[in-house]
Amino acid sequence: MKRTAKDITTLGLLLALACAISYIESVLPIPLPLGVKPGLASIVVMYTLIERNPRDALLLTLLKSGFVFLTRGVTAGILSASGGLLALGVMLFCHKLNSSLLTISISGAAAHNLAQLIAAALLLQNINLTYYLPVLLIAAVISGGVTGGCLAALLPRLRAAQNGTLRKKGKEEP
Amino acid sequence: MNHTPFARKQDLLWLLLPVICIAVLLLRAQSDTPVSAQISIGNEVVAVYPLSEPQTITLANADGIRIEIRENAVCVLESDCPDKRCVRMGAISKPGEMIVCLPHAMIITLVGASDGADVVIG
Repeated sequence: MKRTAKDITTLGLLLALACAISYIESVLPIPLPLGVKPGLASIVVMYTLIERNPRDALLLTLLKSGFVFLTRGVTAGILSASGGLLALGVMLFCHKLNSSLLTISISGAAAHNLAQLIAAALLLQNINLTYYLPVLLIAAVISGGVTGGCLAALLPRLRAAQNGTLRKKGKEEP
Repeated sequence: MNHTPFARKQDLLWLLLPVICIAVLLLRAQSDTPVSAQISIGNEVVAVYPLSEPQTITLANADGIRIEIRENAVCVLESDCPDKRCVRMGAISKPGEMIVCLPHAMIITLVGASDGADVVIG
């Protein structure tokens, strides 16, 4: 599969964006159980999945988890990888079924949370963490709604930027 | 260029999920008062402390963690783990609630008057 320089650099930018968002989210103190986060980095993953291709999205997810591992430790890395990979799989499946953005992002968020719950249960060798399942699912619907909404709002502009047809206010882009 | 819509009419079904979850949570809400704090590392319970004796403890096999036990609540005062989620969680005050420290594989949970032993698999 031949990649142009533009492909590679854009993917690099997407990765940097995903890592930056992920890092900022990890620093913000949010009083939800098990560190449930808005998951805004999945906007980048969804964009890569839908507008580019699943292979790039996989690469993005793996490298992002690698970044998390390098900066926040083994446990964080394992959680990021498990959540990210299952979410990607589920989102790809939904995308193949031609689901709406909302369905893709909510099922991705739910899969992400579920995988992390299972990973945490395995790490702790304790199944009682299922106590948190209802909260995680509610959080998934909300965060899925938010990220799906953000992507829906951003997509036209992102497409225009990729096409070179993005017009800045008051100026024509060449 | 494909056009994935944001939402379709069927997507309203997603609203059912939080409704079901809230119903589960409400059903679960126990008015039990907590009786003791149970601390486990990995899959074994390493300590159980009655809440009737307020104290601050340090665990033998995880001496970077200090846990405060009060009459109605338990919280982690400090921890030597990298993310400090357990400290930031604050206090738990109802049976079934948990404080989790993944790097230490530690779970602190409150046991209520009517709870038996929880099932632990592993």
